[in-house]
Amino acid sequence: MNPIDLEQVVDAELKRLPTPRAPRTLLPRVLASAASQSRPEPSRGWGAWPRVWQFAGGVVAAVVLVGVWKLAAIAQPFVAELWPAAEFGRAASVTRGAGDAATVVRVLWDVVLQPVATYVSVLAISFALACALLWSAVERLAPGGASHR
Amino acid sequence: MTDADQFEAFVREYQDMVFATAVRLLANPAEAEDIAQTVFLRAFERFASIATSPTAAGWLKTVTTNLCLNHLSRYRARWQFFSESDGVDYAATIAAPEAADAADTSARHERLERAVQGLPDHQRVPLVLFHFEDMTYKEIAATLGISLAKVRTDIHRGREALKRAMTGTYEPD
Repeated sequence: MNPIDLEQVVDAELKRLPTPRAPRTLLPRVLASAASQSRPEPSRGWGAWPRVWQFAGGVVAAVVLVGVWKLAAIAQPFVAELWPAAEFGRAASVTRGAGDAATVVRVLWDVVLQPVATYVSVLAISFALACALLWSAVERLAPGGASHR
Repeated sequence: MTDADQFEAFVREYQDMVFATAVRLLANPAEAEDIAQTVFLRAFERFASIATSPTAAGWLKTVTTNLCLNHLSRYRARWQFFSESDGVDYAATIAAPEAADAADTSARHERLERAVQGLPDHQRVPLVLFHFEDMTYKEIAATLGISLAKVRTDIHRGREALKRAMTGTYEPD
């Protein structure tokens, strides 16, 4: 039988085949998955809000910040009168202490951490790449796939 | 009719078509059911536009075919390799039917369906795409990323295997 005849013969036979029926379990599975997909999530962050709500939220936050800042500026003279000078002195010492701590942290970073940071970063990235390659190889070679559901 | 009812009716209408495409491409009912479920969930995500579309069936078939081919290339990564390198005549591996079965049409259909599913991936997939999905040789070659000559050879070998499976049962109209 030549290839063209064979094609016609096989095509005619295949076209006569009845369509395989879907298993009975398919419909309930699909409906259950669709129902779980359409269920609303309990709480979502600002990033998931509609654009209008995001914009309105941003405007409200900006107004509140400006208001607090203005209020602080207006209230400052009255607060200075009400608070004794000693309180300001204590606040100044706290600020100075925080400045000293920041200096210590910066010196530690410059002397101890920064010289090795590059090597550690390179090592971490190489390790991550090696892991990704290994995983990809396992996915391709393992029968059925390593992450097959 | 609620959206849920509409979607259920939609699944009922197309589930056999989607499953048939998947099971013929994958030759594995369990995997075909998984793929069919994924196809319908994708349809569900854009159901508003698909529900009343006249191209819904075509869309479902295309998505099913693509998902099956992705599945084959991902989970049976070696199928293409064997396709490019084998010299084995798989036609010879499918046994010819017993003459006693010849009369029964449904038995003949069942045997032919089994023979299709018994073909190796690299013969069955192009053959199914050609005969059931009405793709051309060129489209199949482009879709599978293999040469046109290889597509022709694989489909021809697949047809020979099926012909062998039908021997003694084939009755031309």
